[in-house]
Amino acid sequence: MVFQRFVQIGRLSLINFGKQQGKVVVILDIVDKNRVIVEGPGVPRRVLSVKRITLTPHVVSIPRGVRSGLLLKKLEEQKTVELFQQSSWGKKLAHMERRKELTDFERFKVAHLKRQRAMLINKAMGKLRAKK
Amino acid sequence: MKIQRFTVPRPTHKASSTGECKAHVRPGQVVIILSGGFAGKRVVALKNLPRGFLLVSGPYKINGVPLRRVPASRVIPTSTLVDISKIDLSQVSDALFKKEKKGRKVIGKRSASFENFCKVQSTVDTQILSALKDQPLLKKYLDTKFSLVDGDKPHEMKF
Repeated sequence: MVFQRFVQIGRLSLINFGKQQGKVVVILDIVDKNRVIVEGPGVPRRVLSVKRITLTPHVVSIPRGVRSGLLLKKLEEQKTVELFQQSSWGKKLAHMERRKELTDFERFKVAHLKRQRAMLINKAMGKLRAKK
Repeated sequence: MKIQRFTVPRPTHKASSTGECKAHVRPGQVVIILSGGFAGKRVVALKNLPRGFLLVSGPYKINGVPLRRVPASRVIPTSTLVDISKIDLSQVSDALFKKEKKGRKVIGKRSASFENFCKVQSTVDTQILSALKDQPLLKKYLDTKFSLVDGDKPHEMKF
């Protein structure tokens, strides 16, 4: 097994701890073997431990230590964040976020629809079983 | 370079010492009762009463909760609203809920006050039911008890 994702400049990653958990950031510079400088949309520039980020397969091509303006411009040009959001991982995260926001009635609706789906599946499966 | 700072408003720890209007419940809001015999039932709030009480109704026909005065602090307000802006509650008063003095029970005969209660109940409920008429799922929702299962985090849920 060869490593595919590296802690490298321009690597799109997710913060996996604390108040900013789930936010998308880009690695701008590497401080030492454990820490990196990151920044992202809605996340001011800060030093983070490598432990606290999860690497995604996406990379922005930027020079080392760019300023915020250029970073945002490059992100927009290369549509890196959008690409991530369209990936199945990004979609799943968005889905989880939406589920967290559901109100009590909406949760009830989801459960109701799930029950209906199960009923349809069971009916179809019953018919198949009867054929055999 | 401009330094961005996060300004998080500090939480205000105001105790609801008076017990009044802890939950700001609007008329028509669906609320979940938390204590008593009807714990877990989703009911329609009709009116804010003095001393932090709420007037609620199941409606009785849907989930068996009659017209009732419930402490607002023992209730979770939800964001679901039933349009009851035109409801007429003129017949509902504290006197309606007064219990009769215990006397000898006459089997097979309802007391006059109970008869009256039932009448008021049905007039109020028909008005709520007409508001729910074209929302079969909302009816089912009111018919279902609220409950938690393993892994549910009520403090993180939105209602």
